[in-house]
Amino acid sequence: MNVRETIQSGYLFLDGAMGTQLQAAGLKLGERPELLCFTDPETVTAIHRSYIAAGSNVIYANTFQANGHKLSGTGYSVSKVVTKAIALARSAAEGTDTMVAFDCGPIGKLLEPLGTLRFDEAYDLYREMVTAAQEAGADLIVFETFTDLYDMKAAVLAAKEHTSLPILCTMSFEENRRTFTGCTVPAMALTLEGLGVDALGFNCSLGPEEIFPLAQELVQWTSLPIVIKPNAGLPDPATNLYTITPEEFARQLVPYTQLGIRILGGCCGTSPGFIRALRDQLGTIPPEAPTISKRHGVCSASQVVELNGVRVLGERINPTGKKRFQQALREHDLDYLLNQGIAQQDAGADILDVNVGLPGIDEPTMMADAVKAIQAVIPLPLQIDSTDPAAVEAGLRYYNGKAILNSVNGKQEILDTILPIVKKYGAAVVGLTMDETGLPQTAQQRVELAQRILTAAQGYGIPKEDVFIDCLTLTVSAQQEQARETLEAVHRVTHELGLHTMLGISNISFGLPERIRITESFLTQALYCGLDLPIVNPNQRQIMDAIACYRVLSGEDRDSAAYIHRFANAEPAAAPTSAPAKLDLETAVAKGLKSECALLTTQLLETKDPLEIINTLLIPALDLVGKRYESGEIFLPQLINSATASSEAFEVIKAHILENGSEQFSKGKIILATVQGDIHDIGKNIVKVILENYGYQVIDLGRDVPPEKVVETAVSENVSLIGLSALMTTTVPSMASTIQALHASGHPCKTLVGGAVLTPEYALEIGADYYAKDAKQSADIAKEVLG
Amino acid sequence: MLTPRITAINPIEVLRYLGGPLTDIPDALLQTVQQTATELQSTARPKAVWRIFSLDGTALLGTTLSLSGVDIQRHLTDCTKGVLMAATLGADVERLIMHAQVSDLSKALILDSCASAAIENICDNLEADLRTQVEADGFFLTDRFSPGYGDLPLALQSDFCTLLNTQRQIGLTVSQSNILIPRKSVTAILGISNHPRTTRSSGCQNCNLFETCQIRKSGTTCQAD
Repeated sequence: MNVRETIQSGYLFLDGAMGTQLQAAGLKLGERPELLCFTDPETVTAIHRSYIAAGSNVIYANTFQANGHKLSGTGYSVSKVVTKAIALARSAAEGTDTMVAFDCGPIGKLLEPLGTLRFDEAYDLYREMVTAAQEAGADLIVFETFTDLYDMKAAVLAAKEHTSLPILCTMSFEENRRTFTGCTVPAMALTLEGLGVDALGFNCSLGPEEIFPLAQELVQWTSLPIVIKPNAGLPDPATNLYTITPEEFARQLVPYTQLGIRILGGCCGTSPGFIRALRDQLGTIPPEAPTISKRHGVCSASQVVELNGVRVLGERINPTGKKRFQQALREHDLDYLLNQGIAQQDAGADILDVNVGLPGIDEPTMMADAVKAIQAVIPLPLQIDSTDPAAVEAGLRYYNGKAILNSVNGKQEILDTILPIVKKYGAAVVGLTMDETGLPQTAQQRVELAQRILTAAQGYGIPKEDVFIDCLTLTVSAQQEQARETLEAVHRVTHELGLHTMLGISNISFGLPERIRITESFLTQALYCGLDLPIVNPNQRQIMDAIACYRVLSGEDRDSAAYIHRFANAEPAAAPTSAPAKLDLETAVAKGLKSECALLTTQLLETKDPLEIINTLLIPALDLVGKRYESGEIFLPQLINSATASSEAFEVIKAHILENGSEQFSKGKIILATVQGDIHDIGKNIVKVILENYGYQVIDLGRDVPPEKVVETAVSENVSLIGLSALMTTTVPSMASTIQALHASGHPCKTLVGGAVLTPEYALEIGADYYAKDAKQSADIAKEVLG
Repeated sequence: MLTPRITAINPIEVLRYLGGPLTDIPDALLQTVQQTATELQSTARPKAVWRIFSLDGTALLGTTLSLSGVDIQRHLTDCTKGVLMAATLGADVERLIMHAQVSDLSKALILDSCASAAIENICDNLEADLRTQVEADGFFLTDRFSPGYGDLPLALQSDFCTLLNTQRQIGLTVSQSNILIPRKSVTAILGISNHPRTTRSSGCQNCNLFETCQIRKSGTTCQAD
């Protein structure tokens, strides 16, 4: 039986529970089920045989948690367990045409950013298993019971890149149609179909009745065969026992056939009787293949942007022409990027473009870091904006969801280099209508290039709905007739080729006064021509207003509900152009007034030197706030508010310095890190804000930082003060080893430690130079060490 | 029916987690705390799982687990059964805090403290529900005792979570350093006995903030009862 062929049209009956069957056979709680393959192989084989006798076409080997993490300390290697378990399954299946699946559950550790397991570490653990499984003769690979889409992506990539076996993926959802980590049904569908799995669906957590609405949603988002492996209903809350009968279970699965679902089995609480009942009930029902129109879009793990209307791309994460942004990239200041992202999210962007290309920086690494940082705090789908194949690969690989790749063009070499990467990671792709002969002059040329790009993309297996065409916005003041050519091209690509179109609209008005008027007008005309993916600055309210208006006129905003919500209660919200007369900078800092601090600083810069403002106004203001905090007059939230307000002032000063081409002000560099194994970072981030406001440049290495990384950065950036944070007694040893590593490196530096569990005595014991009981003290210590 | 739920996030308790103030609280701060607590309550999707095991001393029958240390032995004296429980505020709250850290650090700090208060409230409610059930059957329930209290090893986090299958049931995992992830989570064991149990005395020694409390470190107490 060939799995890939069978699942295209016929039923495929999986097996039922292994874990609960083993427990029924005497497995104690806390014992590793996989090890029974060695201590009691007959029991395992008997369970396999009973499912085969009941009619299973596929049996899952006893390998659910046979990963390096769970097996460590047992004395058994992954390879040994996997090989043995598959051998047992194979021997049970001998003489039948039942297939053996390598059954793989999640590792058991939560992945970054919430947990400490890195994507690459998870990948390695899955790779170890799947290669052993293929060698041991598994017919297919099943990844089941996953709740984290990122975890699933690591697993699927490992299987795709190291085996040639068919892959079935099922995730566990709750009744609210999300997983524990917030993954939605369409996000799962779009991402996994893009990665090229053979079938996908649901298992565990819920019974057939509860899963049905999820299945109804899933069939709208994927054309792949769907797998359903429910629990035996919901357990009785009092006894924890499953009470549904096999016949009732099977009866509840019948409606699934109307959705065209043909791959079925049972999870926790089921037994061979359930599979037999399933076969009996469905044996008389021919498999259906209903036509269900498919929806499409792009997604993060938790949010899907369906492409059935105007969707706004935020353009602000891009260093082109922005000195402050360029400085942030050079300093690896990810917070700066995140702030840009959040501002765009708040302004209504649907998708964020991410461009970190700058001469002199390592773009692939920066892209991977940026993608990981952004997707940790912003749920919007991302558009990876780069032409460097390594950066494209890095961005798409570490992205959690289905991204857009911006861009390719008509040049054959580019198409052949980039499109395979796009296909591998299942992204959508933007094609610019230009090639090696230069910029197009006519609408016709643009349409021809669009067709060429579409054909090439489809040649690589990229579906039409994932190809977006950018007809290029040229500056109207330089090439006036091109505006009409672009608009006509947008119209033709939309209606003749049936493709989504993208345009960076800001370019139209370059060099003209009152730019926003031309930009807005061009945008509206382009939207009418069919543009549905405008790239804009979402912080320009006038542009977002224009889009809100268009959505009413196109019918997308039903009953003008969003428009009314946006404008009905709008007060003439004039941003303060000057601060209240009697307010000075020190008071604004003391009261934590962010925008007033920024405004006052702008005013002060007209007459004062930046250094003067920092040294005579800002720092003394912070000192005063710090003193009041130490004396108990004010408390931590107020200290933080003052520091963040002061940060606004600092931003104004930094931008001013960059405009004037002067040297950036810095009292010295400080590294901050939460040590390896620890994930608590609020305290460290508070210290960061305080230190930055005292004029130090903080290199924030984040959380769960290995000692080597601290040493490496200290040496390469020549940093002489390193701050380490830990919140748990169990991670303080990591602090000690980091300090040891720094001493061993011979790099001259001082260490400063902090964290709720620490005491001055403990700090001394682990070899730290300084102990800071709070953020204010960190600043005092920095002053002592760096000046 | 044991439903994990937040019934109250006490602003004073939140401020205790923040390290103060506990008196003369500025109105603006109190308002922010209350607003943040409300936001948290609407975002959080708390989950819990629990199981009853028969005990032989401090060994959980039917499992491979035996609890070590004198403190748990004292706690489970005369207990024929034990309830193992795990509760989590969930990953959504974690993400909310991470997002806030970028845009509004002060709010992130308050959110974090609200979350700590919330998970304790969830556990208190679960414990009260369990106690009602246990007493209805004519028995008595002890307080909850978590890994890390007294001399009960923190390493038991892993065992508790394995026995309760928390990863599959409520999405709760344990890191290499024995940190529960999502962070705002609790595991505990409570004893079921034939005799009435005095609750553990209050005071710093028995507070779950003992290791990290800034108020205690500054030489005073919060005088919580």
